[in-house]
Formats: sequence, C-alpha cells, structure tokens
Amino acid sequence: MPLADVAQRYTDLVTTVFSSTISAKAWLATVVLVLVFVQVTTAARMWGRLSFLPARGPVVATVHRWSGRVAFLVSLPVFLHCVTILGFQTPDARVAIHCVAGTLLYGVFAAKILILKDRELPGWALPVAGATLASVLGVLWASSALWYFTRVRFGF
Amino acid sequence: MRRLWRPLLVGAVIVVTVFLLAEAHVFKPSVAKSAGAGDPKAGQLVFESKCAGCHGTGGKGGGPGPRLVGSGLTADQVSTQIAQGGGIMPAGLVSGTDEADVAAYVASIGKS
Repeated sequence: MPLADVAQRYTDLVTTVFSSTISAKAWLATVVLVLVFVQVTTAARMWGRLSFLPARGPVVATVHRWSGRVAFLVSLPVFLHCVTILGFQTPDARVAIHCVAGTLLYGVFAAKILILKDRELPGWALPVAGATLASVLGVLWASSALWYFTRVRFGF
Repeated sequence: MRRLWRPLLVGAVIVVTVFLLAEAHVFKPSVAKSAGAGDPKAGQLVFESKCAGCHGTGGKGGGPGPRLVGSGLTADQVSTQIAQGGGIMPAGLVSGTDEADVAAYVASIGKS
C-alpha cells in the first residue's frame, strides 16, 4: 500500500463516523480535554488540594490512571493525522502555536510518566510535569477544536 | 535533583523525533483524485455549513479565507486544496461525495 494511501484510508475510516477528518479531531481532542480535566481534579484530590471530592484513596488513583490511559489512546488518531498526514506548518500564529504545542506533547507526556516512576525526585517535579502536560493539552485544544467549533461549525 | 535530567532528556528526544516525523510528512496525501461530477446544488449546502465561516456566504469573502466568487478555480484545483489544505485551511474539511459536490459548487461560482 503506497504511503499516500494511508491518508485516504484514514479519511475513509473516520468519515464513517464523523463528517470530516477535522471534525473527528476536534471531537477526539475534546474527549481528551475532558479526561485531562478528570486527571487534574483527581491529581489535586490525591495531593490534598480538593477535599470536597467524595472519592477517596485507591478509587481516585484508579480513576486518575485510567483517565490518563484512555486520554493517551484517544489522542493517537489525532497524532496520526496531525503529525504524519498534515505535518509541521506555520502559515499563521494559530497553526504555528498548535504545531509547536503538538510537537511538545508526547515529550512532556513521557517526561511526566518517567518522573512519576522515580520516587527519588523532588516533590515539586511531578505536579509541575502534570501541570505542564495539562497546559500543553489546553493550548492544543484551544488552538484547534475551539477554533473549529467557533469559526467553522459545531457538529459531528 | 540530579536525576531530573533523565526524564527531561527522554522527553527532549521524543520532541525531536515527533518534529522530524512531522517534517518528513510521511503520509502526505497524494494529489487528489478528480472530483468527478459533483452536484453544485448539494455542494452549496455543504459549503454554507462548513466553508462559509471562512470564505463568506456564497464564497463572497469577508472572513479569513479568500473570496471564491470569480476565482477561476477548477473543480480539480478545489478538490486538491480540500484534500491537502494550505495556508490556514486545514486538510480534509470535507471528503467523499461532499468534497466532489463542494468542488463543483466552488468551480461554478469561480466562473461568475
């Protein structure tokens, strides 16, 4: 299968559900953003910053882990389309900011996971890494899905 | 503190890898297939819902996208632009039959 056909196969696949590839990305990115919100709130709960949440202990940790795993998986089709089909572009500020943030995303994600596994690192490292990751995802969503929903169309 | 360089280094390597992958553009779409005989009337409906936000109602301009009325674009040129994107326009805003219909519609207003 020629490499260029991957783009067409991807388009054919996602348009069985969504009206276009960009619509699919906008909605998948929105799902990721919701899961990131879950990540941030459960992380804040685990660090004792959100005492009003009803869930405690292992439940919060489980929700945190699984929301992260699902967010990672949901982001992969977006990664495929953005990085391998569209590539790095800088035609205007919005797209440039989006491309730079997108390039950083998985690097920040990997660093956060490695920081999580290393218990000898200073206590501030993990919250800083998590906040950086959530911020990058927020910038990605605002520079793509928000733009699509407000400037192009709001729908599937 | 000294151990912090490890995750940062791995993260930096992944950032560079993603950037190189994006620059390589490995799955860049080939030139779009001919739009075929699209239906301009059906294309107008799709255009107004998905394209008019940037190109203006009826392609008359007024948004961030260029005016398409009188542009002289052919259906194949429009189809290629839709498939590959360009400038601030992302690739794949419409596809399949919708793409052919929009291409036919834009080509029709391009002549006026």
